[in-house]
Order: sequence, then C-alpha cells, then structure tokens
Amino acid sequence: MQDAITINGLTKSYPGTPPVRALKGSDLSIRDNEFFTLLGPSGCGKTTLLRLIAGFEVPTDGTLKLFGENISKLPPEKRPVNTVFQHYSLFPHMNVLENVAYGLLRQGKPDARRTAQEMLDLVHLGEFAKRRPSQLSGGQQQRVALARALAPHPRVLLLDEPLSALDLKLRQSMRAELKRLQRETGITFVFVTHDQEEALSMSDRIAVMSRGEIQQVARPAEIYEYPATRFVAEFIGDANFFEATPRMNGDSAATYHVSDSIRFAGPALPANAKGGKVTVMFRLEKARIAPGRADGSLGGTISDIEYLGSQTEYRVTLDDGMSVAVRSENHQDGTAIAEVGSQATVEVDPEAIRVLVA
Amino acid sequence: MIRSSDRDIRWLPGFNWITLCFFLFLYLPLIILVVFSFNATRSATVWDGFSLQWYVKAFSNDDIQNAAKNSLIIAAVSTLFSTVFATMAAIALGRNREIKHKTAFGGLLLLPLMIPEIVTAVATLTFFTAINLSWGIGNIIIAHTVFCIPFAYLPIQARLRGVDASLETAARDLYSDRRTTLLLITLPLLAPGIFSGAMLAFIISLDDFIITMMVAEAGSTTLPIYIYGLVRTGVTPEVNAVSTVLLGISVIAVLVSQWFAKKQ
Repeated sequence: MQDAITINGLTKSYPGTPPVRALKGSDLSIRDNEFFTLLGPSGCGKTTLLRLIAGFEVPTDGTLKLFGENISKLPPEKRPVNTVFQHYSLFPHMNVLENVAYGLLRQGKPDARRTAQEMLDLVHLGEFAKRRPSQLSGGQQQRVALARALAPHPRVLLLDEPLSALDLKLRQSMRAELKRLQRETGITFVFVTHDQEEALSMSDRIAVMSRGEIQQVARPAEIYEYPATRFVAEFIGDANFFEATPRMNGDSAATYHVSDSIRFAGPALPANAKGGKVTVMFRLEKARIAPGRADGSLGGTISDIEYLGSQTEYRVTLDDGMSVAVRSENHQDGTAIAEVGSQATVEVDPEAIRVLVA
Repeated sequence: MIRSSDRDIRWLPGFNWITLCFFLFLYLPLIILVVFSFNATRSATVWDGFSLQWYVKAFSNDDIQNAAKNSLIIAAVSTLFSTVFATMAAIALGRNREIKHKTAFGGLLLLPLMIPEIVTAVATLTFFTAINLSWGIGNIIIAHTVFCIPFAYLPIQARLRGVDASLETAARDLYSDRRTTLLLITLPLLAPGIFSGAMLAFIISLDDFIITMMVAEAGSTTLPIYIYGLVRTGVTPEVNAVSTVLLGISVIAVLVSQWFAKKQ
C-alpha cells in the first residue's frame, strides 16, 4: 500500500544570523490510515514539520509527497489536507454550522450544509449548529474544530497539540474520541504533541524529535522499551543511566563496568557501537528493591522514598556515591519495604538492560 | 486625622476644581453656542425666546448651501479613498511577511499626525502650484485623502492586531485562496475598525481648516472656511446655527461608530 506522506531530506531554515534550522533534512514515511504522532519538546521542529505538510511553510530543501504526488510547491488551499489548530481558530463571525460548512463550500461541494450537520452530529454537537463559537465551552470548540477539519474529508488530518488547552479529565475523554474518529473515518491522522502519555496511548506509531531531527520512529511500546538514543530514553519515561565500559561474554551477552563495584550483566554490544564507553540504562520499574545487603550485590543506602499512589519510588545512594532510582508496585497497602537511611539491595535482570550508543 | 484617601492621588487638594474648570471651559461655550442658535433675536448674549429662524436663514443661503455641499462631497470622497488606502496599508504591514522595514513604514505612515498642520498646508500648496494642479475641489480631495490616511489607519491597525492571524491560516487550510480569505475572513473581522477609521476620517475632513484654506481655489469654499469668513464680520446666530449642524453631524458620526463597534 502507498504511504500517505513521504518526506525526503525535508529542511526548513529561517533567516537570521546564524539561520535557524528548524528542520534538518528529515526522512519519514507516514502510512495510510495510521494514527501517527510527532513527539518532542518545544522547539524540536514538530510543529514546523506539521506546517510544512499543511503548506503554511515553504520548505528550504527536500521533497514532500502526499500519496506519491509531490506537493512541496502547492499552496495550502490546493492540498487535500486539513488542520485542527492548537487554539481551534474557529471563525468568530460565523455560527458553528457555517464554520463546519466553510471548507465544503469553498470546494463547491453540493449539500455542504447537510454534510456539515452530519459532521456535527458525529462529534455530538448537532444541537449547537446555530450557536456562535464564543458561546461554546473549550471542549465543545475543540470538537467543532475537529468537525470543521474532517468535513471536507481530507486525505490526511493534521492536529497541532489540540488537547493542550483542555483540562485533564476532558483531555482524557478526548483521547478516546480522537481514536474513535480516526477509526470511523479511516483518515490518516498526524498528531503533534509534547505530552508523552498522549503519544503513547493514542498512536499507532510515534516519531520522537529533538532539535530539528527525527530521533526514532517506532510503535509506542518499542519507543518506551527500546529507545534508540539517550534523548528518547530521557524524554519518554524515567530511567537510570550509567556510563560503562563493555566486556563481551561470548556473542550474545556482555558485562558493563560502571566502576569497580558496579557492573551490569546485559545484552551484547550493539553492532553500531564504536568501542570505548557506552551508556547503559534501565527503567525505574524494571528493577527490584529488597531490604538488607548481600555480598557482591548492587546496593547502598536508601536516601529518599516517594509514595506515588500506585507505585513507590526509592532512591538509593550506592557505595561510591552514584545514585539509582527504583519504582515498585504497591500491591498491598503501600507500606515502604524499608526506611530512609537503611540498607537495601537493587536487582536488575540482564533482559532489562539497554545499551545506547547515541 | 489622616484618612487613607488623603494620600490617594485622586484626592489631591484642588483636583475637583481642576476637573470642574476643565468641563466648564470645554462644554460651556459649546452649550452657549447651541442655545443661542435658537435665539429669536440677533443677540449672541441676551436670550429673547425660541426660534428656528436662523436655521431657516442658513439653509436658504446659497453660499452656505454651496459650502455645505462642497464639504460633504470632499469629506465623503476623501473618506472613501483614505479608508481604502489605510486598510490596504494595515493589511500589508500587519500580515505580509515579505515586506521589510515594517516599523519604518508604519512610522512614516503615522508621522503626519505629528507634523504641524500649517507646514503640511504650505508644502501641499507649493507642491500643487509646482505641478500646476488645478482641479477645483479635486485638489482639496487629494490633500484631505492624504492627511486622513493616518487617522483611518490607527483604528484599522489596532483592530487587525486583535484578529488572530491563525484564522486566516485556517481559511487557507480550508481551500480558500488569498483573495477569498481576504473577502470572507479578514475584511469581515476588520469591519468595525474600518468603520471607525472611516468615521474618524470623515470628521477630520469635514472639520479641516488650515490645509483647506491654503489649497482651496475660488468656488471651492468649505463650511469651516465659510464660517470663518462670517465670524470676521461678527458672530451671528446664523453662524451658531451652521456650527450646531456641523457639531450635530460629528456627534451622530461618533454615536453610529460606537453603536457599530458594540454590535460586533
């Protein structure tokens, strides 16, 4: 099947001294009928990429294809792509129905008003057709913006942090709503967010971006479990990181020496490692903590305990001053395994250890 | 006893009197002018009963009719042109990303507000003479259009700043080219500002004296110039009547403009 969006070496620079390179020669394919998320901190280039796809920005270099057709030079009104804006951008001088019908009318579609009304029904706002946008709540405006962008039935729907202005409960229910709409319409969604939870829970695939570059493109679980770079590992979820020197044990395993007393058994060194030091990491919840010490084990003194509801986080200061954090599930009543200042042992399975070369 | 309000700047001693004087000096002459335009006799100081005779006289005076006609034509045409130009300037400076030195252009556009009007007047007269321009009230229309542009520009530019540019982006995204976006989104949202700008330009043009005085040729007398001519031979209730009509037009223009702004 043909990809919905293919970009090759796409670059966007803004004039300045030195020029600001918002997007640095990125390659990416977004599949048809996919819920695809661009995730990253502010200034990482995700919104620039979205605006390039929409046609609001002209690329400095590279090509942008929509279902195989090069659209790099097309103005936004010629692209079968619609956008849900961060602050909705509903036309204040038109009522809700006129807003939703706007794109259909410009396309000269017959029955624009009837289609618009159907779209409003789809987002459960059928009875608000005659209201002005200013008379609606933030969540309702959000759904009008969705209906307006979906009404012309675009081939790709772009969503620019559409949930960021909503409160927590509404945000969570809108997630489910967005996924439902994506399934029901069969339209490719490209969703921009800085919220990892949103990205992990909604997406078929995620592209993690940093400083104008795409760091990793993968399914949510793969992004979390097998981060490709240190940036991805740090940006999504929490983890312990150590600089270590690898020693191979055969072809499939290695030991990573952090210091004289700290070493981790883990997987073999990745093929792209250049030698020298590497970064090993493990997620906080993949390690276990037990009270007391045993010889040769990884351990130290508990320096802090944080109760987080479903989990408790322990911070352990290792013998040589380094620090490691562990999260354990509160299966019973959440009583800590030990007190601050007492000795504890930390165990990490070799399967939980990840080796990062970038 | 010192009350806390004594230290409040709004309660400095004498503030009430200054305020009272301000309103007296500003509005009392206006009230007297309006009241004596309805006086039954020629006196501008002694009240002799109510009469509309000065209005009847003024409206039947051919010279006043002519001056009023000139004033209205000049104000209407220069309002139209200056508002169109001001709107174009505001959109260009507020939205076009390819225009450089926007601050400089915006400053130059508003500079005439700070140039002494007599200087503009002399310069315009010299210029028109030099290029041998002699189009009757056309000369005045050109001069008025030019100096009304900054006045029309101010409220339009202020309104455009309040219009989120992402609305225009959204329209482009929804299959509108630049022209359609301008017609269906930008201009409707800008309408209150354009209307205020037009009203301001209209009043400024209607009331202008110095530049008109310099530029006007024989036969293109406007109301302010005619009133000035009358006053030189003494203030009559007829002058009061004409001035009251002028005042009335300005007040109506302001009220309409406010009503329109509120309706949006």
